[in-house]
Amino acid sequence: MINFSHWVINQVEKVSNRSHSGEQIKDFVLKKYSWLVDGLGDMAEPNKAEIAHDLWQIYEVLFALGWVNTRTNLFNTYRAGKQISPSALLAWKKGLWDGKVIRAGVVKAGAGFYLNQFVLKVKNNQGSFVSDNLESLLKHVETRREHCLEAFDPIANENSIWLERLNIDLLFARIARRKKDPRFLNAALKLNDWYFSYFQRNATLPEMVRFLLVLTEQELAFKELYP
Amino acid sequence: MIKVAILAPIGNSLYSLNTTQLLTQQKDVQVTVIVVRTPWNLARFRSEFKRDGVRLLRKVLNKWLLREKPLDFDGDETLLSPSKNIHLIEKTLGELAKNRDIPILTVSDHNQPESQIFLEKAAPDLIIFTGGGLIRENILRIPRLGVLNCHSGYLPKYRGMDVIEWAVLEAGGRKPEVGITLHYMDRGVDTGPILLQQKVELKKEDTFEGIRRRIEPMMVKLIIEGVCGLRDKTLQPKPQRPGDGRQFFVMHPRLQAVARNRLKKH
Repeated sequence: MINFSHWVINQVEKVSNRSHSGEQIKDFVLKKYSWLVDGLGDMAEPNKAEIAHDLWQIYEVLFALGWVNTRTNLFNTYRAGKQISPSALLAWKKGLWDGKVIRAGVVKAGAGFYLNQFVLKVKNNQGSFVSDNLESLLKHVETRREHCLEAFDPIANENSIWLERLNIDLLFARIARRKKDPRFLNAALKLNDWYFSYFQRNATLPEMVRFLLVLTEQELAFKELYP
Repeated sequence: MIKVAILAPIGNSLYSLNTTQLLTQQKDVQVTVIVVRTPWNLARFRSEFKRDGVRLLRKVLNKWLLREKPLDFDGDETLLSPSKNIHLIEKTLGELAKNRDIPILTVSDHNQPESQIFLEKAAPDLIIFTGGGLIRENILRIPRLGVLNCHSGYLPKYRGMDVIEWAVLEAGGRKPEVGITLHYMDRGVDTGPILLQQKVELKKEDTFEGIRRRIEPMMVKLIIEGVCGLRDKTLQPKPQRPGDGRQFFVMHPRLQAVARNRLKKH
């Protein structure tokens, strides 16, 4: 009876396991990246520069992962991404709720992008401003799980909500490497498991490119933390 | 004399039974009331399944359906061994309460008003939390001394969930900081003042499940030591600073695999 019960639970575990292995992610990223690069020239995409910058970043990470061997990045001309001045960062910060990016489950739009910029560009990271907000976002994702990052302020529309989510996901993957804190990698791994089914079906081009960037950054963090 | 109340996650929890039985055997310790949660209901199962996934099924199987029988195979270092030594014959807290004339209340949530009124009437000096969800302010403020919890991690460094796995994962080649901590509960997650701690040595062939089973009797003993220390006024709680530790969450299967490998190599 005990053995049978454990056998049943093992089967349920196998069926309900939604986590993706490193190999599955590598296959998915390389296949989609090659498809996107082949098709980009023909696309009439208004955000082409931003997409090309993401593709440039993806290639750099793919090279660091050893998943591609050629050093030449086809998107070198798009190396420089969106530039944000320190004053624009501080202006965004002023619009937060007492310095907090999250309140009652609602996340300030731009949280992922701007916090990442704070980490990169503001030397002292504004005291505990960045670390406190990172902890709040982490707690939100871990406690709300598949219902996390559902509400943004101002309200995100269908076109922007996935990019908002992915920017927070990207922030987690990068913070895991930068701070050598596996809790953020843990959260990124979970988010990407939950998001995978959406990106296997109906993502837009900017969303798909950003998702590939998140996955590659996640894998780089994994490789660096656990070589 | 110190008056204690017990909060238990389920009527047949061996951890709660051992703790209660041992407390009733201590001089000048009076178990005044027991509050126990009802067995699994659908709403709770759904909420916990979302958080824990399939491992919740294992927990239900072990703790409820099989009444922790698998522990039987683990020799002397599980909760069943102290159960024999302390003459615990009762299978449920209900039976234990009846045999010792201890009032007992069954609730679906420890924080519900009936539970609050029951505990307020008993006016315990101390509440011992042996599991059963989050405890809210309305219960935390009842006992004169506070609500005690034994956490299966070494505080303040490892707060939250899967802390044995996280300690092993983070240790790399160093000795993992695996241990147990008796602390007062507050509104945070494992952030309340520390009363007692004990480090746990890892053994060859250890598994995470095995470590968890091995530390359960140690946790019971630490609770008893803590209650006796408070009774004798020989213990002083040591506050934790928020920045001294981090909160950990359920570990992703890929990180669990790394942690298992590290445990094997340890």
